Amino acid sequence: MIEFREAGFGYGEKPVLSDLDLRLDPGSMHFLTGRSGAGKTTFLRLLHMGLSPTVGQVRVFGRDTKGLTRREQAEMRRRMGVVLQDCDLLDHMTVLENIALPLRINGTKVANYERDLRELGVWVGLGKRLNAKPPELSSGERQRAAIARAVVTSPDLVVADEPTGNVDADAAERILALFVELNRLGKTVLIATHDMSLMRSAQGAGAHVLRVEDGRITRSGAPL
Amino acid sequence: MSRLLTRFFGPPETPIAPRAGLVGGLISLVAAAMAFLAVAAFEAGVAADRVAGRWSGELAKSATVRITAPAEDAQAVTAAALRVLEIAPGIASARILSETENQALLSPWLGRDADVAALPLPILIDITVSGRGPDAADIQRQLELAAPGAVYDDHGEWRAPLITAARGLRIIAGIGVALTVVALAVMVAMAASATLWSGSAVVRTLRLIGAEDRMISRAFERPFALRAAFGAACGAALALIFVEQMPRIDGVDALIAGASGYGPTWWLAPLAPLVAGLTALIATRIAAFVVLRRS
Repeated sequence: MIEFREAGFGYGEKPVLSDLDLRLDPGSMHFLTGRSGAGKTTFLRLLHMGLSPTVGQVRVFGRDTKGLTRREQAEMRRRMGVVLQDCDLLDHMTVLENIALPLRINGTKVANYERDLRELGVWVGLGKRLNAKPPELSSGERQRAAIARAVVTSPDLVVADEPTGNVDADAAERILALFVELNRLGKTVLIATHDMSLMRSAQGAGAHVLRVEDGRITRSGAPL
Repeated sequence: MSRLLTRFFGPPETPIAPRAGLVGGLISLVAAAMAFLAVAAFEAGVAADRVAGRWSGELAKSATVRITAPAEDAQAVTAAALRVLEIAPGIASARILSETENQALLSPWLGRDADVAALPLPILIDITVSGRGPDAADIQRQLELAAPGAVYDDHGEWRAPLITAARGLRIIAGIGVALTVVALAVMVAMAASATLWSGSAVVRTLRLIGAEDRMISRAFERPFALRAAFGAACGAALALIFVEQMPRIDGVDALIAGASGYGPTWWLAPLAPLVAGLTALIATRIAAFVVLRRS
């Protein structure tokens, strides 16, 4: 489903990531770890086509991301859910409207799915906060709203960049539990984090750990 | 009303693009000013057109014979000239202008109390032409033979520069309308670019969840177009009310003052917001296309 073939990315002469050769199978779960600035976010941006590899190939859903038109890129992004550290919620919309946004982008009539959307809100623990605006939410609530938005269209791939970066331990546990649940539902999940305790909490989830070091990615050990 | 709409169609969706706020207000204001100027320019052009048509029509239907002769010969020369005019083809009627009519013609310049009789004025014969009128050169030749000192004037010398001037005014009005539309487009494009750049977080979010550039552009187009249309409607209405208040003069005075035919063209009322809205829509689309390609 996702394949990096001798892929790399750099700014000018300076490579950020190089010799990336790995494959993420459908339905698998991965933690991408490494120190800050190691290239985790760059790796994720290559995946959701925020960046294009300067060498090699990044193949998503079987297609080389480099040759895609902007329209095709958008189509591909609609098949993935992305959660960024700063959440990127639209402040002028309510939580419910933010969660429903990918449906609107897909051209779905949101009013027909209001009950499902509310159930999704309850699932991420925001049942009573659905009519609030993002600035009224805590960091953890914002992260959970972003997760709900990422999964509302039931995408094949869920990518999260430091989803627990700004939340306390309890909220981090709850957020991790959501990703594990998503993976159990058959979604491919990739979480970039430098939080070792988060990975320890995922013991038994069968997740793989990818380590970013010196611009390269290595798969480490057996699944958690 | 909104409750009724909500009942049937559900609650309105929050627009994807954030409220345009101050920029939106400024777009309305600029559109209002531009529409006012465009409608005023258009009305001026229409008035010039009407005046030109009227001048041309009025002057083409008439001609004048001017008789300059010594006082003792004046009556005989006038009678001879009238005889020539009576039998000439293309002339419906010919009559000598009375002293009162001469006075009325000169009153705009000399005032109503002027003693016209004391002035050495030529005798004027007013001619109403029929069909395409007489052959000016032929009739002048006949007048020279029968009534020396009589000069046939088909008003062509007056008509040509007036019509040219009116045509010039129409062109200036047209350019004025076109320039205001271009200026509106540029202003809206600049505002849309600024909004898109300042709203880059919204653009990034929309891209992240799979919105195509076309969808993002559309999210910004509608509010801009609606605000421009609203502003233009206000500006156009104001301009039409202003034009309605303009003094209108009819008759001979109007011909001289050039004010005849100045009146509001009411079909502009719905057209102005339509053009402004469409202009804003296209300008926003182009601006969004450029910004989204670069971002």
